[in-house]
Amino acid sequence: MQKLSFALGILILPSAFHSVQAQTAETRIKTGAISGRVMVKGEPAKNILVYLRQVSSWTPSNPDAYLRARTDEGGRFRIAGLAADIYYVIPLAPGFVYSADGGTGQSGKPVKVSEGENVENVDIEIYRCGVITGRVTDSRGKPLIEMQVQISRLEEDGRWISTSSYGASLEMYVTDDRGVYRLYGLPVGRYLVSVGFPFSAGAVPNSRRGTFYPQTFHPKAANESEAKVIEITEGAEIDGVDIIAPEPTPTRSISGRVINADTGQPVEGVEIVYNVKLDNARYINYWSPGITSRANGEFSLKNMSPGKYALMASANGESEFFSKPVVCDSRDGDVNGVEIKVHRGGSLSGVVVIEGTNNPEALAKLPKLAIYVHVRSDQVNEPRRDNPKISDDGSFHVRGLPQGWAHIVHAPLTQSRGFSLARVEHNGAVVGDWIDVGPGKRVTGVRVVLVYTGRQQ
Amino acid sequence: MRRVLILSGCAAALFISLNPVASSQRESIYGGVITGRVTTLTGEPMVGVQVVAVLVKSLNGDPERRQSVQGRRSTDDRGVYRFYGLRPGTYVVFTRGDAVSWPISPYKGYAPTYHPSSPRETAAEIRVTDGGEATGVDINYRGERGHNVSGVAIVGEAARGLNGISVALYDVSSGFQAGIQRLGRVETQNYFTVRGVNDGEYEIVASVHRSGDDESLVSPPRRVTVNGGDVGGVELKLAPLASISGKVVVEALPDACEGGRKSSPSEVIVFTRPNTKAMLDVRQFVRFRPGVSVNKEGEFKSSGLDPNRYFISLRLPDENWYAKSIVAPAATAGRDSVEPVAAYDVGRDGVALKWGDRVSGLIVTIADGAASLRGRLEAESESSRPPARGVVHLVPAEQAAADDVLRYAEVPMGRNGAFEFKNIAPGKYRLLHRAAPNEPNGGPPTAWDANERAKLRKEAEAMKVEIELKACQRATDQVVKYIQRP
Repeated sequence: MQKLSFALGILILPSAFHSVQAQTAETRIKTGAISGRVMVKGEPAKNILVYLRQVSSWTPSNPDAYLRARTDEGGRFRIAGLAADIYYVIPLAPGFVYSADGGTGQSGKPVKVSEGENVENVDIEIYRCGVITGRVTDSRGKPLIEMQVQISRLEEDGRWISTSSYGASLEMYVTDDRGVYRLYGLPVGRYLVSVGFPFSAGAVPNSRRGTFYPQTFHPKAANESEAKVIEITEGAEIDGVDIIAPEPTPTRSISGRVINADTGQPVEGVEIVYNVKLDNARYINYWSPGITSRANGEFSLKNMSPGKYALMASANGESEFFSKPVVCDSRDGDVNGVEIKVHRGGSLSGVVVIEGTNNPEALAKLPKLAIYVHVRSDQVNEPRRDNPKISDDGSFHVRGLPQGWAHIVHAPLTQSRGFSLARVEHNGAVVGDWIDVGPGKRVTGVRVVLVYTGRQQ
Repeated sequence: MRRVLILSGCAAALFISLNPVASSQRESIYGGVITGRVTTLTGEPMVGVQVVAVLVKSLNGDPERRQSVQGRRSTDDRGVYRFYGLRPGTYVVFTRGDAVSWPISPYKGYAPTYHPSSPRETAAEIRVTDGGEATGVDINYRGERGHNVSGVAIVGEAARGLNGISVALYDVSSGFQAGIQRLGRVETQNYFTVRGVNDGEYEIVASVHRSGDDESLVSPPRRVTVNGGDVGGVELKLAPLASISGKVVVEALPDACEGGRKSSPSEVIVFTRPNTKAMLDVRQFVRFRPGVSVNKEGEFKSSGLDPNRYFISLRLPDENWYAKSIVAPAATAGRDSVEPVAAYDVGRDGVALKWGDRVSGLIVTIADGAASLRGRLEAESESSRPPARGVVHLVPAEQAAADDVLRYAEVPMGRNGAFEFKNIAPGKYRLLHRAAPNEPNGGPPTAWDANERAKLRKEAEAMKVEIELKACQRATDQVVKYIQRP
């Protein structure tokens, strides 16, 4: 029999929730309800907290404002007083997942409730999670403290996907003072456990005073193919998944300076970003370590994983400069003297507007919305994407654009939920697809029209 | 040549270790361990809940002046938590049953339960030593609601729309943050409820943290008594904090010290310290930092200052430098970028700040030619050992320097009666020894107060221990004879 009893009682306390969102919700008719059962292996799961996340409403800052209930002896729950909307029904049972492939207490099962509708039989099966635990040491058996532990799970398509979404806290992905880690909340599946970082992984977090541990899988494998796979069945606890890490090497630093391609003079305040250069000449990922060139144009990236990188001036839309990527290789040691030649680019500016709604909540989201400005250019070797800040009045500005074609899209970020792009106008005319941009060009009067649909994308 | 100075003073009764194991770093494997298991009243493990360790006493048993969180750890699937690398001392640990990863807790209650299953008053204390491990520090979570403290935090129209207003409650006796509520977007009226508060005396503060040139907003702390029930209707009015900004300039002198390294003003740290003994919660709350660095142009800005009188002091990178003067333009309060018209002696009087003041244009002058003085207080006989704790004062002897606060200095006596003064302006001084103040960290330097300054001078004159420090002089190995007065 599953032992699922938590502290008793339904936790709906008198609410003191006074935000605008709540007041708006008050005015809606709230007569809908969701009911169902939570089950473990066909048995009722009692005293489980079930809560709702409402799609078209902000996440409340007040924990008492969450709609919730606890399951009874029969695993049944019912949450009433719902306005018409889509709700995610989330069972919050630590140590369990609500779907066999690993759903945790964050997302949930979507349920649509119409006005006054009583949605029944929302039945949710939860599964007891597994545990992998072990110890990380160096080759002499000394514990390695505060080492980051990575776990990857074999997906249906045969790929190993790394995740840190299991368990209740990121702490479990770090070894303690004895070198011990304990990964819990794992859904059924096949796993690899590793410490350290791959080569060309960029700046290494928690770099332990400049040391780099190459990625090592349990028990002491340098790559996935030699790693021992851990099989987790429901509720299994696998211990002794120890890892012996090889000797670390120093992390690398890459330094150089930024100069103006036309004048040869050093340029201050240029943000340096880097991509990883793969052997097949493709670039992957894009990191911004938050480094800008100093008054003499010099910059230095520290604590880097040894590898091949492409450095360039950041295409962050704030800087008026752009550059081509400069490739460097730090596998054998630190790299000095990298020279990044920057060119003054063009600009594009305009305003984002919301059409088709008077909903004050939707209109208030304007400065939190996001757009991407993509630029295809032969002047730089890769597509560039800017995410300009949108001001309270909707205006935005992108600078440092290379010669090429710009394309504006709506960024599907969390805060942009419920919005979609209707059209882009330039000087009053609808833009077909691309806008001509580049050095010496100041494109103004761009109007990005978003519509509010209220639907989650 | 050794110069012998004679000092006398009263023996201090208190003993405090002068070097309380400052070397144990949390990053290292040193420090102590506290581990245990958190369960519900029915004995089920509590998964993913935060356990908090609070340092209440130092290793030698002195109560912490401001009790602070030394760590937060989450329980695993067995309810087990483990703190390591803890600073040696005495701790209490508690949980509110709240989880890091979930927007709400699957467990009941808000009020903290301390090890073993208690409110704060009856919490069991855990002593942690360097390398020691305290096991079985279990918490049987009571799941109590506690009381609510609610009300409204009011801000001006200008701050509306900012993000991140929060309201925090501090225990008056321990300074510990007993509860907090974080609200989102700032409205003109922000209704708050701090949950899970136990009976006690608190100060409540609302704040909006801002960075850059905009000053954070806080409310003056208000006293709240919770006694057996909820407290409602607390009204907090937020106002912007003040700032002081200025420039550090180096006075070029022809007789610069030989061999002195060429330091840059950008290595100077400027400290802005309130002339109060207690560190107010407000400043703690807005991450007030007393020390700020100076940029390449010598400019500095100290932000997050609540209404008070502040003094400026410096940490100088070069032993040949000393602080010569600190002046401000007259009548700068509340105005930006005022050119100095008449100098106002900040070095002597400090700066009195009101809400929202932005005092700018301070000129901090540092000069070359500093002297230093190192010495030791030594027992004249076996029967008159110097007290374990004491403070040695350096008092300018010239009458004209009586109110030149920058020329006063005080240092705590180190091991075996050692003392050292650095970055001292050349001139004539008198030395004076006093027992250390009873409270830890002492409070503001004695010389900031005009009356105290006069007392210092009187005592120093009576002791007749004089020394003249020439420019760039490094006076070392000074032995000071200590004579116990009856």
